[in-house]
Amino acid sequence: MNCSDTKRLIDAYLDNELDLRGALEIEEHVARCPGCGEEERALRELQASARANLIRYAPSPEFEARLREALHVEEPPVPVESVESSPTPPRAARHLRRAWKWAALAPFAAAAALLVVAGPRLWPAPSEASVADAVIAAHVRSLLANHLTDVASSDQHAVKPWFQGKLDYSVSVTDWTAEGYPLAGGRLDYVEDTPAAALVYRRAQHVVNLFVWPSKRAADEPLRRLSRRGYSAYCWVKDGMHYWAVSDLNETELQKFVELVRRQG
Amino acid sequence: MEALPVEFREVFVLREMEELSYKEIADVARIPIGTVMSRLSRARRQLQAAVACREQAGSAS
Repeated sequence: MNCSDTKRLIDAYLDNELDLRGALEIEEHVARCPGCGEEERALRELQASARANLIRYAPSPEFEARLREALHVEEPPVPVESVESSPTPPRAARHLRRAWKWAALAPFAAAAALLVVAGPRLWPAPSEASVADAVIAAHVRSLLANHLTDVASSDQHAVKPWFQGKLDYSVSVTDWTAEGYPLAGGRLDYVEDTPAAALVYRRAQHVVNLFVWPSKRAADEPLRRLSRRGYSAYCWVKDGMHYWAVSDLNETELQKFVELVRRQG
Repeated sequence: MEALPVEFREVFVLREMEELSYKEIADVARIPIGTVMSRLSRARRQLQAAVACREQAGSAS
């Protein structure tokens, strides 16, 4: 990584849009190059001051018209991540596309908030996107720091009791060795300052982290898919618990895993 | 902020205030991701220059 590469990519780096390797290379360059280090510091300062001080601006009439048009569209355009390109059976794809309608509308809802000049923030906090970032970061950390499991066992009757006393809720643990997803163990993790149970499963060379923690929302929520930096995350709410399954597995195999978890109990 | 061309301002606001990803901004503004990156980058450089300019004017007066 040299200075000109860094100049080209530093915005994407600050916006967490680079893959892990790219981000690490920039981080390393910025640490030893005074010029680029100064640039990073100045950009972060600008970002912080913009977030703290900006009042809302009304968008241009053309932009507003496009947003309104987008908001009235019955069928949202093809979802952000192209689910269709993955080799899913038609029924699963249809189901997923339905689940996606909400997720596909989210950017438009966020943009609609822009129409309110100096109004209150309409975007609920923490947004699903920031939870997705936190969950995927936790997944990456578990692989990087060589701290995948606190309790390493393929025995569900050993993993489940381990969580008791560490969490004030009970987590159901199932080993899916027979289905091709053996349980590797459990780990205590934190997602957005909430203690979460992380159940670790393996599939060939890949790791799936299943995060479970209590939800404040009473109603169940349908399955949604998000992706960041090459990792996929599926999330849903069932019986008052948040579930997030994160992995770099291919879509078909991760979907199969998610179906297994959703079918249990 | 007012001095920014409107297409730069849109991208900047969607990123910094709504915290949308590049892909989401591209979908909302209907521009390619590459254009999101370049507009965001140029918006930031112009804002930096404007802030520096104002600070200089402030210290001169």
